Amino acid sequence: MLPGSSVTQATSADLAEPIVNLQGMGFAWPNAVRDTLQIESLTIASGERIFLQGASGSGKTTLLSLLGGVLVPQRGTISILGQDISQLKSSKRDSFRADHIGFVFQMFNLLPYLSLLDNVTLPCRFSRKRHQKATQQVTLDGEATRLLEQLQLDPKQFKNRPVTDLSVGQQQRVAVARALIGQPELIIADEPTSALDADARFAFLDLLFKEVEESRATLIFVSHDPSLRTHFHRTVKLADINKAESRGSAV
Amino acid sequence: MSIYMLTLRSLANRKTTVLLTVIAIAISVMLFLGVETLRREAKASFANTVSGTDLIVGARSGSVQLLLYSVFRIGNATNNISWESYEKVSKHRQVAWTIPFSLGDSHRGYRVLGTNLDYFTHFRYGNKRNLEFAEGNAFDGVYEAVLGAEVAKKLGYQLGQSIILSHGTGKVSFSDHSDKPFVVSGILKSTGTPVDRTVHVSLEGIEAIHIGWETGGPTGKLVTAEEALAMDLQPEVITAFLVGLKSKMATFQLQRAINNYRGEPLLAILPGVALQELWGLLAVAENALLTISGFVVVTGLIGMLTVIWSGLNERRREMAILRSVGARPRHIFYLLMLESTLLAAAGVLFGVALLYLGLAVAQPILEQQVGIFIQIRLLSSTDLYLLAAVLLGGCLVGALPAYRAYRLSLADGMTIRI
Ligand SMILES: Nc1ncnc2c1ncn2[C@@H]1O[C@H](COP(=O)(O)OP(=O)(O)OP(=O)(O)O)[C@@H](O)[C@H]1O
Ligand SMILES: [Mg+2]
Repeated sequence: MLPGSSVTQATSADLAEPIVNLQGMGFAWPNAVRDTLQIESLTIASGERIFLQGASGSGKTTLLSLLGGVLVPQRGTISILGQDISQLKSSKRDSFRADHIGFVFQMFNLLPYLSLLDNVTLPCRFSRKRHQKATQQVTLDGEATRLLEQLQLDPKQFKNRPVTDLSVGQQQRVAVARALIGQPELIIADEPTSALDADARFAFLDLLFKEVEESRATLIFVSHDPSLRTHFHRTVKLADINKAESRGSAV
Repeated sequence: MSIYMLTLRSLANRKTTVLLTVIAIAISVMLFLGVETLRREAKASFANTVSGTDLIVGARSGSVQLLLYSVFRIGNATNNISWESYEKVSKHRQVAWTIPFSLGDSHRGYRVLGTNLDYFTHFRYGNKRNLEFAEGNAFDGVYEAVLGAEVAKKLGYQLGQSIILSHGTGKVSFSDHSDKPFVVSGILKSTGTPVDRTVHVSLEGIEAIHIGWETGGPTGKLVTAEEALAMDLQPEVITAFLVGLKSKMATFQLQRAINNYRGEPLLAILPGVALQELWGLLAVAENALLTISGFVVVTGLIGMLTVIWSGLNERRREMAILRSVGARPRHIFYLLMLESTLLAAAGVLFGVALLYLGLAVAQPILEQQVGIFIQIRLLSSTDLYLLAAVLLGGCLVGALPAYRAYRLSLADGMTIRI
């Protein structure tokens, strides 16, 4: 292993089985002159809560797309749960993502034409595995309701209203419920709090952590706001691990 | 299937645009099918009007014109022909029967046909069918009339009803033959041809009401109905006549003989040939209409393309969300394909419904104003092909935005663009 990858070594993570393991990974957007990302090594252990920090345009979202298998690196391997997803056929990658990863975006997470519950259960339409896990004890809607209630949302209250009526913070909590349903192993959140004010931000983080812990998922949380980092097990600065010449300004 | 459900929900969420798009396609489909139906039905209606007649003879003019005014009661004759010529032809050894027509009067918008009893025995329509009486009999006296089915139905006439004929064929006539009323002696069964819209009287009846009207109005020496009966009611002129031959072989020979007749300028036509000529005349208009309505359909589909395409950008977010929960780029493609296919299908269905509604409304109007009887039938195989073509067009049109969304969703990764 190259010395530059030592950033990921100094935690308790090496004891547990790594859920994410990137080796010698390089990615360039089509038509781009240079690589956006060059990461020699990044390992994340199961159950970790990672704070991925980086300046705007530094490639955070790109990295998450690679982890989710929406993008494929030109070089190197990306292993999730021991499976090298860059070697998978694209359809297999898509179902792998559906089965094992839950996403929360910055904002506008919901499909405006689906009801609250249908938005939450959406991943179960694409993943039989998550559908099965979610319906082990209750109906699918029952599980969605349970998750929403734990996130302090009352689905009955929004039953006949479009999801676009929800406040931004409420929408983000629905997105968390959607990411969590069917207990995917990895939760990836791309600046989910940037549209929230400070109070709502911490309240949201508390709920998110509680739920992630409960479902024993691993969390990768992206933000450029360093004030949040103390809440996480570990901070990964993209500028430190990315050897590509970054056009974004380092934080 | 989940994609199907998502598409439906997504469409339901955009009700207004979707509805407008569907309406645009539906109207274009209705127009397209409507033109096609009118074309077909008009032809069928014309072709059904006369059958078993070998020649139609009238004053020399265009053959289409003769065909139109003699059997379709459309337009008017420019000239009459003499009774003498008629007698000559009907006595020809090859001629099996003739039916004289004397036109020019009307009753409340319906044309009056002066003829003789041969009409009821020899006139054929459709698939060589004879005329049949629903009630009563053929006219016997001078002042008796036989009504076509529609005349009786629309005007609510029964046997024994007294009616007054008007001079000329306009809808509103100011010169009535009110001094010589006619009595309904019979009502014909419906035929689906102009016969239904005709009032039939004897040639003598026509003659009787025109005594003193030689100049076109009641200016001569007028007589009462009874006085007229005592007079010589043998007509001197008629408008046209139909000829049935003993052998079809003689058709062309007799036609030539009539066309070369020295006594007066006559024209003999074969109904089938004249119909073909009529179609030839109409083909240009027909094709123009069909082409235009075809383009209207294309416009409708382009409208749909515009709507879907312009919605794509704001739906990139939706695509990214779907991708994040495991949708494949293929799913995104299907989603949009399905959307346009559903829109086109809804447009087609709605269009067919509009077509039937339109036909139901247009049927009586066309029948009365133009004299073309439109039968409302199930969709023909041609119609179904046309509809399939519209659907296919919808799919093809949908493939464009679907492909673009597919490309975008591959290119965007997890980036949510707003
Ligand atoms: N779909 C794309 N096609 C081409 N280039 C892209 C695409 N998305 C991002 N990039 C480029 O890749 C680089 C990294 O972008 P990325 O969105 O990953 O940054 P980020 O760290 O998430 O920034 P932010 O904090 O603003 O979200 C940028 O230079 C950007 O221009
Ligand atoms: Mg980003």
